[in-house]
Amino acid sequence: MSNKILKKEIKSIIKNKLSYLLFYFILPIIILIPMFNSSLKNGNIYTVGKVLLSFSVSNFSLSFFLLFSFVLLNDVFYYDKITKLLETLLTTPITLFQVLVEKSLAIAFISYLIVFVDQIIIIFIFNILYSNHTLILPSVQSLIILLTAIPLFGFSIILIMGLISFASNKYKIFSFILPLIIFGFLFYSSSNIKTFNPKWITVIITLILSLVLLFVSLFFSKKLKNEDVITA
Amino acid sequence: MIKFNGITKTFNKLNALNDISFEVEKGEVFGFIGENGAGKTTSIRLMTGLLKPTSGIVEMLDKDPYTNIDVHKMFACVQDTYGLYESLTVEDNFLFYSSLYGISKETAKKRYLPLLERFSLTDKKNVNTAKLSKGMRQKTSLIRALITNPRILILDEPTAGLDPLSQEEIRNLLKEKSREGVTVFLSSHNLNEIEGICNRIGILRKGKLLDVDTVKNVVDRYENILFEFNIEKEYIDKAYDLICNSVPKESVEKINSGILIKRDVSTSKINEILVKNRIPVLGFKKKISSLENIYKKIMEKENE
Repeated sequence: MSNKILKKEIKSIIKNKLSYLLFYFILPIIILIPMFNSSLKNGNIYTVGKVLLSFSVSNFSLSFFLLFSFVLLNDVFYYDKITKLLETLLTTPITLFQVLVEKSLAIAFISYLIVFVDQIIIIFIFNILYSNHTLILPSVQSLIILLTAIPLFGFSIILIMGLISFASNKYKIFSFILPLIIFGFLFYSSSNIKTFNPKWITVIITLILSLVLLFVSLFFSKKLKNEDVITA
Repeated sequence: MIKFNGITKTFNKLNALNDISFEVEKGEVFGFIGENGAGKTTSIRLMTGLLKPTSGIVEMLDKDPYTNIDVHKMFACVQDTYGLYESLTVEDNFLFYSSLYGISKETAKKRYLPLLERFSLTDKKNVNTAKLSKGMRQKTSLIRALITNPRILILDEPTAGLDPLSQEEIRNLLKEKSREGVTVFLSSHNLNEIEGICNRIGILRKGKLLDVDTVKNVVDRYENILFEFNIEKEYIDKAYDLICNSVPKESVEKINSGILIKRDVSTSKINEILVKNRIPVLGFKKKISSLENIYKKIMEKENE
């Protein structure tokens, strides 16, 4: 992998989407801290705090990760397709698979970085606001989800969306599926926020599912040919 | 360098290209002409590995560009869409594309700085390509391709939208590259341009290759030379009969101002015949049809 496209895309995103990135960097903090405040009214600060932070670190992180990626997908994939920049790119000595993977990695890297730093800030602010000398941390299981399953799952989803944007002329319709999944997932998981406690089996299943999705997305990316993209 | 052997390309049962064969040699400037939808873009996409032929073999430097990614290092393509990232500066575009070919920053700079100077674009180096005019983008796109030192340069309408001076500049550059041994494949609607710089041409129509030859041979083949003898109206019939005695009748035509001969003839001999028979010749013109006229003629013939 040459990583030239990866570097170029990261540079472009930072240069052209800085205000967007800053907005989405602040958004989770603005949403989550007041939400914690209302949830902490009933119950033990340490027990409830741990549950809330675990929820934030795993479920919210994934939702925000996908939300950031959603807008970047348009710029990084779809724009290249409609302006025929992709066509020029594919005449150079790089493969379609490289283009797909490096573009997806660029989006995943930026989105994950924001989510990860956000979670550290949230844990930090939470402890300053509510903790009394004892450090409140999310559960180990949720941290493992943040460190492994989320980047793998997120990257795979981006790769699949990138694949669709390149290979289908109905991308605009497909692109609405992603926010539906995000908000559906957020809505569903928020209803169980107070009893949220991921078990080890959940961690293992999440990880296996993420790996399966990763292999599936890489498999189909490898299968995609220049002709599929040019004639779509 | 470029080889199309029996290429057919079908999209949804429609033949975009139908059994096309031609070869382009090293250092040759090959022009591809044809109407919109004739199959020029499909041909370029096939030679750049973007499409796979339905049948036949495409070879670029003896390798299949669809399956062999390494051969992509040997050619560069300038499409009519420029292929420039509008959010990047001119220089960043150059550096990005050259990095894809494994060219170092220093080498790339050594290559693009003189070209920027030559095309008077040095002051635009740090400008986003979105802010460039159409002509500037066209030149920038050409420089982007040249940085890679390609052995084959594929150009789709390289001078479209350029002022005459810039067009001339690009033509001179292409001639230079050809002398250096670079093979140039040029698809264009500008037939004067094709006539001016191409060694050979291919005429494409509705996916069929009608002719491949040197410009001169193509023009010759389609009655290129016209001799016009201006004669007073009252002598036209007599002159026609006399000329028909020494030139095949189908090549001689009566026109308002005299006689038109549509083939290469000895004009001194015709003049001698006319003078000997006391037919005053008021004037004489030799016309050579341009490629543009010939092209129109070929297309009209095909439409019949």
